[in-house]
Amino acid sequence: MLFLEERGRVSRLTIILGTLAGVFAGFSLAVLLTLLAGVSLASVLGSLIYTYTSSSAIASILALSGPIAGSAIGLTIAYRARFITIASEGQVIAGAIVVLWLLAYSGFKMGPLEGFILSLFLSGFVGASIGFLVALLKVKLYVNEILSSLMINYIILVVANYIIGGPFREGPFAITRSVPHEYRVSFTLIPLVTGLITLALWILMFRSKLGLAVEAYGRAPKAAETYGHDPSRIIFSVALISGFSAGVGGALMMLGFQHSMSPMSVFPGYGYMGVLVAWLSANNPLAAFVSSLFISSIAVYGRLLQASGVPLGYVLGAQALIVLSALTAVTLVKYRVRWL
Amino acid sequence: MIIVAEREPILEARGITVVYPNGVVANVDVNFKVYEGEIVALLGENGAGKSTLVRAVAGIVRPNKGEVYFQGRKVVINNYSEALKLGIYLVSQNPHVFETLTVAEDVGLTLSRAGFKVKLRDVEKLLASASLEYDVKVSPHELGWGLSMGEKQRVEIAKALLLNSKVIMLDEPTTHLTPMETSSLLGMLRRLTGKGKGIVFITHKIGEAMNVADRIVVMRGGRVTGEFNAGSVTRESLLEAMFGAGNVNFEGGVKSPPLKEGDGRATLIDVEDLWVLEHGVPRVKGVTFSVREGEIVGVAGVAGNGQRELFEALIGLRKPARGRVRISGVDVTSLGPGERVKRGLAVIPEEKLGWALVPGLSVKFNVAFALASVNSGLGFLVNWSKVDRIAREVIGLTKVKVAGGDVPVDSLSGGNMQRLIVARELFRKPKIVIAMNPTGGLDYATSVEVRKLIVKASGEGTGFLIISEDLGELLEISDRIIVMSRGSLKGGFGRPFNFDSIAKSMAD
Repeated sequence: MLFLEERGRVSRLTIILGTLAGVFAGFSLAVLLTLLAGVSLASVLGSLIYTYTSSSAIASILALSGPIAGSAIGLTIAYRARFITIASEGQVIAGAIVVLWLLAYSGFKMGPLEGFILSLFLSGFVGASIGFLVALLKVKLYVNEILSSLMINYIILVVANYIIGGPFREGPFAITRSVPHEYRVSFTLIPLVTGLITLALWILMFRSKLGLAVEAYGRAPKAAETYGHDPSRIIFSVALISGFSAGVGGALMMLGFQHSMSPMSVFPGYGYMGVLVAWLSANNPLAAFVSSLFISSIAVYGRLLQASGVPLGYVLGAQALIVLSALTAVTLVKYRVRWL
Repeated sequence: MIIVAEREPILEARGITVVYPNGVVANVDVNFKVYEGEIVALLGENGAGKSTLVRAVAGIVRPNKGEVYFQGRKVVINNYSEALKLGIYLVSQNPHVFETLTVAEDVGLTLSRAGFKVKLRDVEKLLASASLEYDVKVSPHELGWGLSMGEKQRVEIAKALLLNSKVIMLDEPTTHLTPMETSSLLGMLRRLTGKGKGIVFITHKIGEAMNVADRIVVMRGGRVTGEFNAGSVTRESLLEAMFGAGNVNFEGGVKSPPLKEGDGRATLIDVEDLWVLEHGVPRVKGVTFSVREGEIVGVAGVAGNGQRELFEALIGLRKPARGRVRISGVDVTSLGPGERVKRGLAVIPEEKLGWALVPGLSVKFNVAFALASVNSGLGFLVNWSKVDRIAREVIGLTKVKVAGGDVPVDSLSGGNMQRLIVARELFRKPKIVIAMNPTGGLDYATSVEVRKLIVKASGEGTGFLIISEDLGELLEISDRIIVMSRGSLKGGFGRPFNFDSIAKSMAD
């Protein structure tokens, strides 16, 4: 029987090098897979090189990382408290819609800076409110947060579709107005915002009393409660923080590259990618920030592959291989495979 | 003194070495024999390798090296079922009796595991005959959940007898028993030796080993460090074998000066008519008591008589159905643990990792997280250099053997974990400490150390409520003992304690 045996203490450098080796192996496998689709090696490698060297692809990576990082970074603190919410998907959508309302429908007059700041806070507030609802269901009615957050995502999807096809509809097609140009942000601003959230979360997690309480509660809830850390307060705190962060991710999506919404764009999956990234980064906000860029780059690489004629199924397979290889490498760095 | 027996042993382990996958060396070249009609005590402190040895012999742990001989024949025991078939039975510290099965069904399952095909009706008959032959009384129709720990042990012994086991090994069998149940068990074991059975009795209690056994084998650090005739060995020789020459403080015991009634000491915790329910069933019934400044009050009783529920209600983890809890006169009944801790309550739970300590994190973190909720001056942003300093002070309070605050708490031994917990809780100068089995599972030296800390703190005015299954410990350090039985308090006892009266109350 195969089993995994812990290697004991592994240095951070070994983990980084191991992960990079896994990513390299993943890309190699991805290239081999896409070759099977009948596309030339030059074209496949060209897409790969283009992804990481061209300014337009890098701009896309940075822009796309906004909602993914916003979701993932916030989720790291929630998952550390073993509050396994997946509401980030709904929080990104809700954040995006409220920003669209503020900037394109509300009629409020404001400058670009005010619009930008207000967008971040309003979207964060909406995301946090959704998080509050999930936490309330858990704390007061003992509802499993995975189920409730999943259901809330579907409710938000339905409501978003209604808004897009109803009150926000412009002309004959179910498509909304666009965010006015003066409020749109440069792709360079997006990692700056997510970087600031990362820094704040890092301080909160590793330097604050709340971080102590979250860490203790996640690993030993009874110990945390016994020594004075109120579980309800911890759950509400992480739900609000993760919700705020994902909501801001929605704002960055809208301000950075989405600009308008249609039913097709309502469920982009960035929130769910955030869930994956949070796990991939072992719930470390700094690692989540970097992993978000990595996942965005894979998404951009996938789009370029499609543009060069690789069928979608192959593209998805290649993306999965890269992520799986990275995860496998991280596992193999920490554990050795043994045979019993 | 080494005993040389000319008889053939029923069971012999030669050169057993066990190294666990995580690198822990549990047994090193251990030789061990069990003879017909004897009780051999396997004595040693926690982590000495006693349980590993019997588990290796019973096929539960696979030794890396060594051989097992049964009735003169070399045997390879691959799993516990094979041990059962051979005639080796291991009664673990928490007997494996299914809660939802009747005794007869449970026994039937074990018999079938050992390869016997019997009908339920026949099991009942077999149990009745074993009861007559060996005087091991069990009720075949009783459900597992309704059995006391002593009854569960009897069921296990009955299984061993029905399997015609030649060697019965009992791992710390008296841990959860009342003094009366203990004496009944010992009588039963003596009767079994009369029928030719070989009994292995694992214990870390020296007195118990001397009382029970014919022969005592002492282990330390995974090795056998001495083999003695129980009739002639001295306590000092056993201590030396257990801890090594020069490592033993033979003064060991700690006495608390008795407090006088009406000496003006303030009441620190005051519990009035406390009722605690579990799934609608009362587990604590109208308990009333108080603890004063500098007083150590012991709560004696057999495990499962409502002590855990009382403990959890007092620290605020459970809401009582009725009654009042006051700390320094302030009603805290409806307050959670955090508010109680802020009012001067310190908690020493029974389980170290997961309840008192956060696994996977450093010693430093484990000091900080418990102090963060009280006014420890750590601030919103934790000052880790200050935490470092506090951690060093906490470590310095006791003899916690640890390289530094960054060491993972899981890597500490059970004794060092307990020292850390006690030191951490006493560091913030609490008014009242509520502790549950504070020395449970600890070796002799650490138990003495922990008791000394408790007595010293009580001398400085801290009140203690100690819920313990170890009556000897309570007799040693308490000013007063109250006995808990079936959820109620059965009388209070002051010094000088009358052991028989307390033991009788525990069995009520």
